[in-house]
Amino acid sequence: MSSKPQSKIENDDYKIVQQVLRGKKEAFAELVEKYKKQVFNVAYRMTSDAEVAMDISQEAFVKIYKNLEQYNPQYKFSSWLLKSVNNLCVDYFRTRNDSTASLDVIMDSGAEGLLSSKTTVASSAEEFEKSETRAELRSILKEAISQLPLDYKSVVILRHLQNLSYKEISQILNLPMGTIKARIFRARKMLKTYLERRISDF
Amino acid sequence: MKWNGEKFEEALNDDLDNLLSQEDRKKLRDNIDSDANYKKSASWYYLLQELLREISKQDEKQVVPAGFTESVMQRISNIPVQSQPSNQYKFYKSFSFGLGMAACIVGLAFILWQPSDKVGQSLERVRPGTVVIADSSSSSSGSHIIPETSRLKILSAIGQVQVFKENGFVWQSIDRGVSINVRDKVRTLAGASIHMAYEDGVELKLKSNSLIELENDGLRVFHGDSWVHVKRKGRIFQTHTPNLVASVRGTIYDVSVRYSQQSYSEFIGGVTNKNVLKGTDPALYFRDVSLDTLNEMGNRHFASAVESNVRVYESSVDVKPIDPSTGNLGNGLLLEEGQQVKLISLASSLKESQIRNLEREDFHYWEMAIPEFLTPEQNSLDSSKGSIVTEPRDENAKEGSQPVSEDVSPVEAMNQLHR
Repeated sequence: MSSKPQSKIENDDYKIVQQVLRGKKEAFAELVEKYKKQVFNVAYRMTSDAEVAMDISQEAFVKIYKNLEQYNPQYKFSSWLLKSVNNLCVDYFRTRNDSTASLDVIMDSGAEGLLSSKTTVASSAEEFEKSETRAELRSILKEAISQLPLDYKSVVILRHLQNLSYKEISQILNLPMGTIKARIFRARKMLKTYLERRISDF
Repeated sequence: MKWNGEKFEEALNDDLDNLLSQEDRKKLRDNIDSDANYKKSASWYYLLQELLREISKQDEKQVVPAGFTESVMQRISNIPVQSQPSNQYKFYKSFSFGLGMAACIVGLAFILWQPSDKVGQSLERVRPGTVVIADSSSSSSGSHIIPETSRLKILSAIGQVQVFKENGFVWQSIDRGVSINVRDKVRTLAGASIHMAYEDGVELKLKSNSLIELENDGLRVFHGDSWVHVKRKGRIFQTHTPNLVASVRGTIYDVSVRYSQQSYSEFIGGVTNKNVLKGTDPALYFRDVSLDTLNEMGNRHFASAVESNVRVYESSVDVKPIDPSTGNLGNGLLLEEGQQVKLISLASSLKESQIRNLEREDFHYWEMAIPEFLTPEQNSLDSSKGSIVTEPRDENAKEGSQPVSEDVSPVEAMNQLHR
């Protein structure tokens, strides 16, 4: 295993980490500036609460700082950060006892089962695109994401909203890529079913 | 050629991930065009994909609340960086300067220095009850109350004992000077054991093939045998397993976790719903323990249901099962000195009839003196009444005696269930 950074970006991050470890604490602000938006966005989408997302995001940076000497340049600094964010979010939901949300119903009963029980399901997505504004559709989808069970929510956010690769998500969540792929598959199915159901209610 | 529904959905998902070859994409299009249901399904998926892209673009424009960086910098202003760059990274520097053979040697040393495991593990776990998030009285610069991690003293260790630091990426061997702190994970490989102590004197022993996570007021046992001596009366200490919680205020007891008998899917299925309380939802309980990590415990057969055993060597221990229907703690038992209880799979309550007496072998197992109440005569008498259930404490003997339904680890079984 080599500890060589994989790209220029990671190399730059590694240099900053080295500077901080040598005592130039203010250099850490560069990393905060660089990744704060990504970190905040993930925390916000995970928790759907800006104030909580702010707290979690800051906490993630502080934790990373405290353990900076353990940074392994073989992996992306951003992956390390997002791992921290994800775990803090899991802990947050753990304290609230509500990591499984209403979309569990869909997961438990099976998307098809739910669909077949509806008598007025949309015949196709296109016809509802005409009647719904895109903003409304996005709003419905955001609501659906917020109700996904935690395991599925995290993969959707990392894959679709952060555009990370399966490999990166696998590193962040410490799960095999096959599992990530299966979860994304199921999460998409849940979201699709939710969209269909919600839109058919109109 | 028309695909069945499963193949169609798989291809559709691959298409969403841009993983299809040109040829397969054409086949997908043909299937979509030839079947109204496929067409309908695909139109929803593609709409979903578009909407997700739009939300992603919106998020890119998201403005992080003002003062974010300043707040973080203020919070770290009084925190010293733990140390100078480690040797590991000096080695990396050697690479970058192209030191040829020397660098290769260093690289090899680096490989040997880090035991293999999955990339990444949990960062710090904010313990339930210690976190105040979104509290109106809290400031943005310090609203999380998180206890600092304390270091454990290693009293003795044999064989390969490894630590996964809370912010770490790999398992590290303790014989290389790695410290063990609260919130780290510790595992003992085959033939290994460790005896350590918390700062306040609580002693903890692990037998071989054990995997635990340390917490300030207890531990989470994923696999294997753990022994705890809480010396100070009133010191609260809890041992969590996937199916029970053993709480004490000063005592000696051990907790073992194995997986046997029932299908692990059944076990998972029973607790999947709304069962995050106390951190016992399996998806959370095992969230940062990789399949490889569990398999490396040297036991390929611990598929199936979880089996926890609590033995009390001194004073008493409050043992409560995790109620599978609610995720809350169910009706438990107060185990007295010399008693044990085994819980296989899940139950909402424990019954007095499940209590068994300890045997001399249990004390031997942890190298403890045999207490007066457990004389050979009494032991023999109790056995004749059938009130003692002898469990082989040797792991291999124990595993060999149990029915094994499938060679799948709990994590994999859980993943399969999710799939």
